[in-house]
Amino acid sequence: MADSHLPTLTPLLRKLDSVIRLNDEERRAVLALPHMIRQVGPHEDIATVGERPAHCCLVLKGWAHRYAYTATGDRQILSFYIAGDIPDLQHLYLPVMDHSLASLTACTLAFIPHEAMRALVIGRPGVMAALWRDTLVDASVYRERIMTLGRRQSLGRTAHLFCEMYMRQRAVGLAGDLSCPLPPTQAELADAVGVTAVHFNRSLRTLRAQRRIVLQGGQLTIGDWPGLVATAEFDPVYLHFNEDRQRSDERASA
Amino acid sequence: MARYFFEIEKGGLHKDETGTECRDLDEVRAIAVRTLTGIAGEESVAHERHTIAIVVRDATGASVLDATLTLTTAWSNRAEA
Repeated sequence: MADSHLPTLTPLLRKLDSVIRLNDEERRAVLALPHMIRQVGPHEDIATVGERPAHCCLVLKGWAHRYAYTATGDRQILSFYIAGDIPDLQHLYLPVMDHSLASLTACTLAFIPHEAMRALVIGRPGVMAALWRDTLVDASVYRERIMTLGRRQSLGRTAHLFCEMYMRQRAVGLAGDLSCPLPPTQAELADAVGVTAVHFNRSLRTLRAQRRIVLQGGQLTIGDWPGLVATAEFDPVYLHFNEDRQRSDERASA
Repeated sequence: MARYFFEIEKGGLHKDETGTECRDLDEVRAIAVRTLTGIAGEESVAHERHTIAIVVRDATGASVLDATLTLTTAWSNRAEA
């Protein structure tokens, strides 16, 4: 691995860097967070409804997901999480889990004690703002998902999910050249866009026939980005990447 | 749990090579109906009459369920453009 010499918590720093600019002292403090590493296999529960987590779970490698089930056993995948994400950051302040969090692929996770996260932000308003921003972007992603699931059809939902997962991975250096890992199975992707696997497969075939994408062996390759964006009605503004950086760049060039 | 294959017929047959794990036959029918209504919602908007059908087969290839949805719309009083 080319990254093996980097500090263990580097993915977290990359993630925070994608939403806000931290100073050197803040960056060092983030990398120095105490943590416990845990390897989990695919589809293992990390935290379930009703639990009271004492740690924040940081994804270092692999994909995790939030999900919930209806009474009849239908699953809705609420969101996917990739390296650098802290899917349960909200439980620093909301003690009880209101959904379940599980690995999707095999994952390397870092568990950071809540006390350490609370201590980190004391006297470091930049880090506090970064964590706030991260949580607010999570909420923004959910608003976009309500729009998508409520008003877009299967083809648009599917295209939208592909655009988002490509952009999110690219922001943390996990994707480029219009290609990225996309490890969920078709059944899992169908449960994320809220259609049957049969209908999802039809949408996938349509996108492939239009040469928008190829999805093979857990790798998504985008053949026509403007076309995919148009089908998805995708506007990345809700991901709030690098807005700070753009602002300071604008100031610098003014 | 068993795997069932859902072939969509709409101007041509589309084979299902992956199949879907179903808990029981009720779920087989629920998936067929949800797929038909989902596709109709997406693809029937521009049609006055639209028929979509699904044939569900089990792992041996035997037909288990036929489901057909025809959606018809007719204007009561609309001048031709």
